[in-house]
Amino acid sequence: MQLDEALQSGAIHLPWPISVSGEIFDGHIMHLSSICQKKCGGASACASAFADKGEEVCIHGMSYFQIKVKECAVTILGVRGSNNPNTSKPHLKDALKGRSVNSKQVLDWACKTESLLAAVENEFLRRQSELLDPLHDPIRLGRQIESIANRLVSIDSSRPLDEQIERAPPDLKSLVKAAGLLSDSFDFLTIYFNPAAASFGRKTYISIHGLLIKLVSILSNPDSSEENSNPVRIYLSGSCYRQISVYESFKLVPFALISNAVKYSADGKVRVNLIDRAGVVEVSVESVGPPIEPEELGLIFNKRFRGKWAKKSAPGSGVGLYLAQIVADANSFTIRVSSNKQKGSSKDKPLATNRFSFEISTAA
Amino acid sequence: MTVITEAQSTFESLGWLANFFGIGTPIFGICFFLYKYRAAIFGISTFVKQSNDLILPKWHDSDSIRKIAEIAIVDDNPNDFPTTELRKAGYRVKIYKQVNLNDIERLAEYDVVFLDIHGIVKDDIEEGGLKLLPKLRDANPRQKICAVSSKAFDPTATTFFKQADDVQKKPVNAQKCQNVIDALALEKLNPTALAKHLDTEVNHLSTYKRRTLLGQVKKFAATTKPFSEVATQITAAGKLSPALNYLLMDYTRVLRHAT
Repeated sequence: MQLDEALQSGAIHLPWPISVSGEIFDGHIMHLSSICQKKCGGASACASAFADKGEEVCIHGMSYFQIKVKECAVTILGVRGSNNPNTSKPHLKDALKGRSVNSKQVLDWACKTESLLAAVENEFLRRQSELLDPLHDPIRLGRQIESIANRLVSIDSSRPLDEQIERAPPDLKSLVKAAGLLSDSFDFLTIYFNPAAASFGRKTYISIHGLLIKLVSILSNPDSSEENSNPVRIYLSGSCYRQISVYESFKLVPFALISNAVKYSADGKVRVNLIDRAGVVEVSVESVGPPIEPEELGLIFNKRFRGKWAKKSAPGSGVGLYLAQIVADANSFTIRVSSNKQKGSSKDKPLATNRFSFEISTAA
Repeated sequence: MTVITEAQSTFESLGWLANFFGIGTPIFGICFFLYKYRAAIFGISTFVKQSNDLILPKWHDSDSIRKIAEIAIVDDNPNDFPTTELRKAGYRVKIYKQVNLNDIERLAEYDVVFLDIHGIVKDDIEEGGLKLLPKLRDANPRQKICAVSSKAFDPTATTFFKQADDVQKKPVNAQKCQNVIDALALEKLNPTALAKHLDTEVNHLSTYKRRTLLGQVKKFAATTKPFSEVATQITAAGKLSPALNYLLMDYTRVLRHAT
């Protein structure tokens, strides 16, 4: 819970007037001073620049305190601090009368408020933890199914697993793919509920080329798909024989970008390109689908945001790219996006070439 | 007397340069000899030198780790771990389905601990692992802990996962488990890293005390005494801090394995 939200509820005891995020909250005991109202009105000069300086005197002669409460900048304004030199000035004498506040009182209030907000936050997390607890066993069982499926397909220990999956009978191949998708979906779910999970563990070296081959194999859908009834083929080009150091969560980024492209593909083709440059590997996923408007480019990574054309094209919840962004942040790279509208497509159902790409360092 | 007089007259008859070389060369020779063979004459003065001479010639990362490293799996569902495969491969693995918070001293002696969060502590079934991890860290900061739980989705468990050296999902397959053990145990028991760390820790001691310490360590490693006796048997560094004690225990284990 944010401090300003808590203050708006009126549940937090507020002895003095304060300014938080540009909004002034009047004190329950000491009200906004006449000098503040007259000179600054709704926009207090003292709160405009936050420097966490403790006690200061404003240009109009009133004291103010600046303090951080749960990372939120708070200015206690229009009071009389112990260092105010204007107490004997006739025009301020009355305005300062009965408005004494000292640093100890301010710290005490900030401390109590922080404790209250922390208690609310902890209670929220505790309840969330309780609600999510039933997920524990399905996740474990999902991984067990994946592990068993991989074991069933690994008959020849001398051959790589990917090769053995490709050569497996259709039913077994489907089982391995479904188990892999289930496991990846649980990984998504894990990061959705706890974004910190994106950077759990330690970074390990992986072959990005190998990972993309596996994902293309899992997500390729030449026959049909539940989300996109048209058959979709994924073309992987380029190669990279170097390894990259990433958290285990990394695989979710190409997974999210490719599955997104498969979902919205209008022509049944998704192109995944891998370029190995000096010290950097670039991965791009390109497909033809609903356009992303220029003003939406910065918003599509927000939680539950969906572009206006994407909404019309396929059902979805708007979390895939949000989660990809969390994982990209954890692994210290940025996902870039471009959308070029195709000329000649219909106005009711316009199409664009959408390209998502990211660069990741191959250095240690 | 005649010899001295003869030597005196010989030196007096020579020029100053000849005298300089005549006296300087043997002195320089003796100093060079002492410097070159100082380790053999006075004893080795650094752990790095001792490690290079005695441990590294017989050290083979993965094989040595299997023989030395002690691994504990603390999980109410040990079937999620490839215990049979690990033991077959030569790893020394002990399983604990449940522990008490009083068992910390015993658990802190393991090199690598796979720790679950839920259902492993008798006194606290719900969040025992969460409380156990920081206690193990305090007891032995050198120990490597791998958090294994399917509860990564739980935001209240974030501290548990962040405090661990590594995080793995269950069930853990044999290859993955071996890779984790090798990486973590090698970080803890790498002879060169241990020796460098020890040299830094005892840098404040006099050369004589350092040599005595190295001698005591070598002597202790040659015995079959339990490593818990390191603190009482190795006295040259004075009373050992818990961190130095664990460091010396690890080093003597590696040295005993090599010798």
